[in-house]
Amino acid sequence: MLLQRIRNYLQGYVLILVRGPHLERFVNLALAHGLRLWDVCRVGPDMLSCKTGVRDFKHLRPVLSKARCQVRVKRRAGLAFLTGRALRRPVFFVGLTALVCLLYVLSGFIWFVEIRGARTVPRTELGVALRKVGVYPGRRKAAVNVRYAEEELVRMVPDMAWAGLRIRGTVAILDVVEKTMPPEAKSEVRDIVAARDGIIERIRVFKGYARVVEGQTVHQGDLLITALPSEPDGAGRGAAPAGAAAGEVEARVWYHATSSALFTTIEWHRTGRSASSFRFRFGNKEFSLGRKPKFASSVISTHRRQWFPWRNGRHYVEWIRHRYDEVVQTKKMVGRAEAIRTAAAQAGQEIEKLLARRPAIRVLSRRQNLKFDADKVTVSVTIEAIENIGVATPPAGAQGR
Amino acid sequence: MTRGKWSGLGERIADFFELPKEVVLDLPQVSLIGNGFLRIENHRGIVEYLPDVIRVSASRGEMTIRGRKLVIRSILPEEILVSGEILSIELSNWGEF
Repeated sequence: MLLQRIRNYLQGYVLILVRGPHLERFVNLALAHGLRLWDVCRVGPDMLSCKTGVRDFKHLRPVLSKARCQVRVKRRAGLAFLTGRALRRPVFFVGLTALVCLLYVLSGFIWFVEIRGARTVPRTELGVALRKVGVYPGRRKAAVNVRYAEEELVRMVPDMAWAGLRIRGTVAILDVVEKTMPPEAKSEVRDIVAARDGIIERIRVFKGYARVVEGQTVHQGDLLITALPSEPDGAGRGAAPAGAAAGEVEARVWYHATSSALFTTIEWHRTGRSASSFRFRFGNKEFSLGRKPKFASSVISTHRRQWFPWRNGRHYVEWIRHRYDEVVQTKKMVGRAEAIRTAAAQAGQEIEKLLARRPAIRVLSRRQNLKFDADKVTVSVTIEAIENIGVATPPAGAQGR
Repeated sequence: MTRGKWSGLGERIADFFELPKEVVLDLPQVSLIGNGFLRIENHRGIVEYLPDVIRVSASRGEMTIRGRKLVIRSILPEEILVSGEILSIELSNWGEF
């Protein structure tokens, strides 16, 4: 049928209106004469419309006279008639053809260059590099060697780790991944400062000058040992080294952890009622299918089915199902002793976590305070300990001193 | 009588050799797709055509298609394709095998 339609269009066809008393006879005679009719439709008591090919229409005359029918052409269609019209308006069709050809030729060039992902590398530098590898507006797309351009760009721009070049239509898109530089070397660290508040218990200077004395209270960020040779100090030992200050500063420090426990706890239970809503993602477009259920509270779980894997693990088509399980809350009374136990255990765990991160710490004492409110109890745990609080800092020059 | 006798023979031959009967016995073949399309092969022309009824002549009698907004999509010497809302198909004056 499709081939037939294409053939009809190419050869041209006419929509005709046939009027007469014996329309069935007209159809049968046309068949007998080998003429093709289609879309035969009765439009009145003595009239029908039908389509026939241009060549068949020329042979319709004897059939019409035999069936005593009259014919009127209502519409002409198909390429044959279009060509006829084109021949009557040659300039218009030459212009149209020229425009199509021009668009085709112009679509073979790069007209825009887009750079994505460049944060620290200057875009002008990237633009120059792109031009050098042959990617610039006005360049023929077929003349661009994408792989060569990518390799050359990475070589030419030292701060770039990876370059991905793609040409979409008339736009050349350059995706840039910049290099992440490692942190500055430890040898450049100069001073030692306090990592936290405390009271100095003991200070041992290996290199540089001490800026605090034992028994002194220090705050976080205070200078403890400096390596600046321009500031000689009586507490320092010998000449300061050109590199980093070094030493140990032990101080008495305190750690606190607080936790509360309510006398009533809330527990959530599933009621057993559940409902689902669906979403369908096609590329970047998402369509919602079905409504969200009207549960006051619910637990949502998401299941995804994906098709057509795309680049970077992304899928082009995705079927998303959200399952809503209705939940309700119930309140449970907790005794005072149990609430204290819970809060103390939580505070204790927090303290243990803190101490686990500081293996060199020496715990001196542990204190616990309780505070009661109308609906809860708060437990505070305080640890007193000895710890090395000295940490290295970047060079003084780097801090703007 | 003679015709019935020969037709019976033709039917037996078609059965024996497993040949398509519509070819051997010159019978019309009707295919209905839902109630929207109807294909009649091996017809003998149109007897009557109105928007709600089409009568088609066949080798053994007449076939009447009733429906609404019936359109003859295509008509060829061997085949008629009808579209529209088809309600019924009747066979009338149908000769025996």
